[in-house]
Amino acid sequence: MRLAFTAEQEAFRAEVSAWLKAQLSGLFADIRGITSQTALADRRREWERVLGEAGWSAIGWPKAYGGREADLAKQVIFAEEYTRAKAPGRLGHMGVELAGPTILHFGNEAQKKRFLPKISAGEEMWCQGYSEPGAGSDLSNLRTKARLRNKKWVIEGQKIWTSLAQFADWCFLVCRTEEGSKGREGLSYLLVPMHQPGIEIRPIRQMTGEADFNEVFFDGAVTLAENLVGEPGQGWQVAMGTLAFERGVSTLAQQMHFKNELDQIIEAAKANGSAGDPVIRQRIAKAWRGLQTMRASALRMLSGADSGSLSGAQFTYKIYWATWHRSLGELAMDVLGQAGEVATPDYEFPELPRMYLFSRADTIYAGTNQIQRNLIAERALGLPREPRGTDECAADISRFGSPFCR
Amino acid sequence: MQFEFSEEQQLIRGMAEGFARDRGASESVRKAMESELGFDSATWQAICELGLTGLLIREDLGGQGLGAVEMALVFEALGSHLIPSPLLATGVLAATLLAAIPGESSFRLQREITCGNFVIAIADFNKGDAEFVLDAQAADCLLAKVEDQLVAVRAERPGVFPGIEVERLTTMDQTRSLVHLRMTADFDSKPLVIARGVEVNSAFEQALQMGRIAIAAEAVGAARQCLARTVEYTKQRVQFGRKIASFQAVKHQLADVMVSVEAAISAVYFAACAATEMPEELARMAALAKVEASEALTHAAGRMIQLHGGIGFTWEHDAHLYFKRARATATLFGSNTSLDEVIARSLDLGDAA
Repeated sequence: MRLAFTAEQEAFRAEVSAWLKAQLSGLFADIRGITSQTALADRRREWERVLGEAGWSAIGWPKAYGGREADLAKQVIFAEEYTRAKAPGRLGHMGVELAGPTILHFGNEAQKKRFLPKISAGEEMWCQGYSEPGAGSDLSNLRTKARLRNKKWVIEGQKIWTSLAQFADWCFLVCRTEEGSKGREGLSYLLVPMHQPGIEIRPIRQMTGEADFNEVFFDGAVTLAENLVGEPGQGWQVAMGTLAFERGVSTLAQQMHFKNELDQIIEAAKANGSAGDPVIRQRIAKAWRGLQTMRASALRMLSGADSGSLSGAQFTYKIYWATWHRSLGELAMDVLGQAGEVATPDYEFPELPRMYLFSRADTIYAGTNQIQRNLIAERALGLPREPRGTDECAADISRFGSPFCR
Repeated sequence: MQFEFSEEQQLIRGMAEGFARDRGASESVRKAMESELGFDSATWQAICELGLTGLLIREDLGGQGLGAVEMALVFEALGSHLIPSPLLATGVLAATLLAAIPGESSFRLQREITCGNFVIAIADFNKGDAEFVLDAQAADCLLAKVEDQLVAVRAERPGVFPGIEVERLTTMDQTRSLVHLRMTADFDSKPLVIARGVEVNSAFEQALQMGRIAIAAEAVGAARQCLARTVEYTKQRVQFGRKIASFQAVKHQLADVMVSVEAAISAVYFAACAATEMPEELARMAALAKVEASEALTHAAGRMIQLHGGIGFTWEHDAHLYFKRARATATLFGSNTSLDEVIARSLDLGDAA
C-alpha cells in the first residue's frame, strides 16, 4: 500500500502540467475555468482538437486509435492535472469516456477504425441516447424503435435528458429493434449521426436557468445497418458494458474539481468572516473528510479494477459523492449568505451558487439515490429483490453515467 | 501509487482474522469484560506470542518494525469481535510514546514489551490526577507525564503502584478498562524520570494519534460486523408473511449503513497509509480516521438495534456491546468535534470566533 508516485510518474505530471499551463495561459486563456457545459462551446470544440492533436484526448487508449496506452497511474495523474489547471469541462467526454470504450470493447474492426480516431482527435462529439419520458430509472421500459429498411435503420421515438445533444455529431442510442419485444429483450445499440433532417433537438431549461439537457426527437432518422454495435437484440448487454475502469479515473478528476469548490468555499469563508463561526468550521472539516474519503474510495476502486468483481467501494461510490456534493452546495450557500443569492440580470450565477442548484441533480441522474440504495441492498448485501426487476437498469446506468455528466 | 495490501499485509490480516474468530465468541468476550482483570489472560498471552505487541517496535529491539497500516489490519480484526486486551495501551500507546523517547530506559521498556506479558499504561497527570487511563488496572509499568517529565513507575504487582491510588471505573462500554489514578503524598517522581522537556509532550501527542488510528480500525471492524449480523437477521426474520429484508424501509437503512461503513474503511486505510508516508500529516489523518470510523460505528450499531427490534434491546444480544463501543469510540482520545477543529485549523481557517 503506497500513495506516493514514482519519479518517472512525477516527471510525466510535470510534462502534463506544463503543457496545460502553456495552453490555458495562452491561446485558450478565455476558456480556463469554464465548468458550464454549454458556455463557449465553439471554443471548447477547438480545445478538443488541440487536445487530440497533442495526443492528450484519450491517453489510455491503444496507440493505433490515437491514445498513448498510458497506464492507470498516468491516467490518474493526467486527470488530476487537467482539473488542477482549471482546464474547461470536456465537450468530448461522452465520446472519450463512454462511446469510445464501448466501441473498443464491443465494436467490430470496421467500427473501431471508423469511429475511434475521430473521437481521440477531438473531431467528433457524442451524446448518449438512453433515457426516455417513460424510461428513467426503469430504463428497460424504453420504446424508441428502429426498423431495417434498404440497409438502413429507420428510427422513431424520443429521448430525454440528453446532455450535449446540441453539440453532438453522433449519438449512441439504445432502441427497440424487435417488434413487440419487452424489457431487456429485443434492444439494439446503434450509432446515429445527429446532423440529419429526421432529428430534432429541443433544449430543456433547468432550475439553474441553463439548458444543459435536451429532448431529442427521432422522426424517420436513419443510420447505416453497419452502425449496430454487438449483435441485434443484444443492445442491453452492450449498454450495460462495464466501464468501471474509466469511471474510476474520471472520478479522481471529479474530485479535483470538488476540491477546487471546497477551496473556493474556504476562501469565501475567510473573506466574509464566517470562517470564525464554530459551526461552519465543523462543516468545512466534515466536507474535507468526505473529500479525503472519496479519494481513498476511488483509489480502492482503481486498485480492484482488474479483479473483475465490484468492490464495496464501487457499489457505494455514486450515492456517496452525490450526497456529499449536495451538502457541499448547502455549505457554500450558508457561507456566502445573502450575497450568494444574487444573480446577473440574465439570471446567471457565479460558480458556487450554480453548483448549489445543480447539485440537486447529482442525486437523480446516473441512478437516483433511491435506486442506488436498492442496488446496494440487493447486489452488495444480497437482500431480496424488489417485486419488479427494474433495478439492474439503473445499476448499470450508474456505471455508464459519467461523473461529468453536467 | 498502489492502494492494495501487500502479500505480507494480507498474511497479517488473515492471521489476525483467524485469531479474532477463535477468541471472539460472545461468551468469551462477556466473560473477559466482566472479569477483575478486564481481559482474558490466555488471550493476552496468545496476542503476545503472535508478536503483536511489538508490531510497531523497531526490529533491533525485538519488534517487527511495521507501521500504521499493519496495525490497522490487526485492530480491525480484534475490533470486529470487541476482544478486550491491553494491546492498545501497550502495543500502540506505550510503544509509540517510547519510540519517540531516546535512551536506554526507553529501549529496555520496548524490549520488555516485545518479550510479551508486559502491560504498560500511559497516563497524563494534571494536579495529581490522571483521568480515564486505559488498562492501568493490569499494568506492570506506568508511563506518566508529570508536568514536563516522563516517569516510569514499576508496579509492585500488576495494577499496584507505589504512591498512586488506582480506581477502576465501571464504564458503559465494558470491553475497555478505564482507570482513575491519584497521586498520594508519598509519590516521589524524581528517581523515576526517563525524559523531560518538549519531547515528552510531542511523544504523548504521537501516541494519542496512533491510538486514534488504532481505535478507528477497531471501529471499522466492529461496524462491518454490525452490518453483517443485521443483514443475516433481516434475511431470516419474517413478519407480515415476508422476510423483513424485503421491505424497502429496511433495505434502504442497511444500504445507508453500508455506505457509511465502506467510507470508513476507505478513510482508515488511507489515513494509516498517508500517516506512514507523510509523518507531518499524522495529526489530521488520525483525526480523519477516528471521526469517520466513530460515526460509521455509531450509525451501524444504532441501526443494528433498530432493525433487530426488541431482541436488539436485550442484554443477551450483542448489539448493545457494539452500541456502547461506538459511544466510547466517540469520546476516547478526543471528541469528534475537537478533532474536526484540528482539521479546520489545518485548512488555514484561522481561529474560531
